[in-house]
Amino acid sequence: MHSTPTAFKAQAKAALADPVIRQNFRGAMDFLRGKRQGVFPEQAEFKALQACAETIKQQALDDLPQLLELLEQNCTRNGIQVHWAESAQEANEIIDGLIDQHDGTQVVKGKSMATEEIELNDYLGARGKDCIETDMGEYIVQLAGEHPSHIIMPAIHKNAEEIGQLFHEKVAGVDYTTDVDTLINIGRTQLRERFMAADIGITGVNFAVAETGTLCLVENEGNGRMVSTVPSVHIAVSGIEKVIASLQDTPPLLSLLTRSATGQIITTYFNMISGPRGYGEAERDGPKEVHLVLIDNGRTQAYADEQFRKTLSCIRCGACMNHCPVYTRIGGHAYGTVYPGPIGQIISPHLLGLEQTNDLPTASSLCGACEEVCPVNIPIPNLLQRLRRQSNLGREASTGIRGAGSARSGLEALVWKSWRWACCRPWAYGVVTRVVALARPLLGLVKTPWNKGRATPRPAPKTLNQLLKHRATGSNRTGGAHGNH
Amino acid sequence: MATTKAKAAILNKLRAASSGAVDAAPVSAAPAVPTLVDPLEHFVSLLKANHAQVIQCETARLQTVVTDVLREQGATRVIAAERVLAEFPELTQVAEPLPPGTMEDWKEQLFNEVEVGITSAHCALAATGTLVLRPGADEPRSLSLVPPCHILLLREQTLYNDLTHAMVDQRWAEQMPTNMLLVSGPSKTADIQQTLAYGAHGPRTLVVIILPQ
Repeated sequence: MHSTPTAFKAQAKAALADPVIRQNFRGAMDFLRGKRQGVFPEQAEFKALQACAETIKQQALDDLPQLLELLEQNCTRNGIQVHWAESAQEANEIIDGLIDQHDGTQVVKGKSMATEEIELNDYLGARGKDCIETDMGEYIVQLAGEHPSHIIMPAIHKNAEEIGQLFHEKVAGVDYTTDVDTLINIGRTQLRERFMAADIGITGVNFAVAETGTLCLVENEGNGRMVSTVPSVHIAVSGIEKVIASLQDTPPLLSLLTRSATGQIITTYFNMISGPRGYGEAERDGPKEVHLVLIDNGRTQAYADEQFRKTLSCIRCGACMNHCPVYTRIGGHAYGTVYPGPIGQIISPHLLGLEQTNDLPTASSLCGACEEVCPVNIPIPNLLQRLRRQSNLGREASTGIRGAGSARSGLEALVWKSWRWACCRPWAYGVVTRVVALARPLLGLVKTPWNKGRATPRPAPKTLNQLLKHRATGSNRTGGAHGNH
Repeated sequence: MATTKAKAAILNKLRAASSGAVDAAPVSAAPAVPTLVDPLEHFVSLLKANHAQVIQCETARLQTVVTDVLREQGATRVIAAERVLAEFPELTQVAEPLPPGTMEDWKEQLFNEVEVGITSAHCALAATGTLVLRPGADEPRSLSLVPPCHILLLREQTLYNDLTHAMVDQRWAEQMPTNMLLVSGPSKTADIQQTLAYGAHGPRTLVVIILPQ
């Protein structure tokens, strides 16, 4: 069940052959594309907003070390305790330590890709701590013992029948139904008990505003609010790239995020958290402590390279996957990574290294749809090509990315080397192409990966060179005949 | 402490990489949100499209209107924020204040008994059909979240064109409260087969009462 990026090809093949997966994703992607199109009626307005967001994120990245320090300063002033983690392991240890420190037994979590990335649930589970997902999609995925297949809509791979069956099997006293209102109400009832009893709440962060020390959460369901309001401790987990300079940067980013993600001009809730209960006035509710855990986990590696730094602009809207012809057909699980689709293909190599992920950059037709809809203008196709080169590099070049050169095959390199050699020498090229043309009848018998499911291309009986030469002598003859007149 | 070491390591790596980097282009201005001809009408229609009930009424009729809403909801346990009761004392006829103490003292009542929470809107944003909430000592964060029905009182003159206008005009960046919140409808989800369902975790019903100046 647990998919991995190293088994990408087999997983993609299995997904392609599964009609339910195909149908669920096709339907969902068409729906989300339509919704997005409806809220960007004017391309010019999208372009202007995109240019603004791109520069906001670009500037924030340029000033990243200063902004992170300013964020820490202002959060600390507001009573938010800031923690730093270089790796997933460190982040998990910090969070686990905070839970222990408060004798926490009941942990509820709002939707957060950062905590998926560090596999927090597994880490806490191994230490006997249940961490309950409260976003409806995440709750469904957790009940099924699976992982999200989309970064915005985690249970997009399941239809109502499958979810009805799942609830019937896993939730006590629930009859099978496909009525969505009933299913949501079951989730609501189950989770309200959890919110009330929880002592620790964990969320992600959409934007962290350095200027004011504010953590912003974007959501529709209200579970993010529950998790960050009811338990007495709130732990927010964020990648270091989520910091932005000023509060005034939030309106354009928020507008692009919700419109690109779900085609909403705004989500139901936009929660701006700048401190625990009573930090300033005698509030009667809200968490007594707020913690922010800042995670590196491969981001500084991407940061060190001017081109790859662009990947850190991502605001996690998911538009690239919604518009990707590959994602639409194979779904999110086939990638075997926490972040699937085009954005996952360019950030996973930094999180996991290229050894494990070198098939991912090849899973693209480079059609450019992802770049076209990206709200912060990340040149995804270019970066995919760059990663392809990196993973095929020989020993001659060393680069900053872990696992560079891991997809290099000696045979492939030899083929290309010979090709280059022959192409630079017309006589050799002529000999090779003539031999291939002569061997034409035999080539159909050779088994290559190409002719699995495709007809074997047959070289022409005569090479282009021969044909042109033939035509040239022919036309000379005609020309000569004319001249004789 | 491990986290101090991690901080130094992260910042050092970032500084090493950013030194000598070319500065990015200055932030290009966000396209201005068009100024609405009839902001109130726009605001109301967006809220309604997002499944909120919107009622415009004279302040003198507030109690009657609230009573009607409560009857419609069949509500028996109604709590209003102290801020609301101080501004509209007549509502003490139909709503009670929160019990004394902090959330730990009344959490179970709030989850299990209270059917309606009445709070105030700090201001509103016409372009997106959004209410801005500013919880505080006299208006708990959870009162607009936990009860299944949420009634919000809004003064018409606090309607701004959009988020940027409100935050610039009111200079939010100078002093953010511990919690500030934008609400644009009742709680909802489309996580099951893209089918919209209301009342995911927060209020199923949002009633916005707009009062004149």
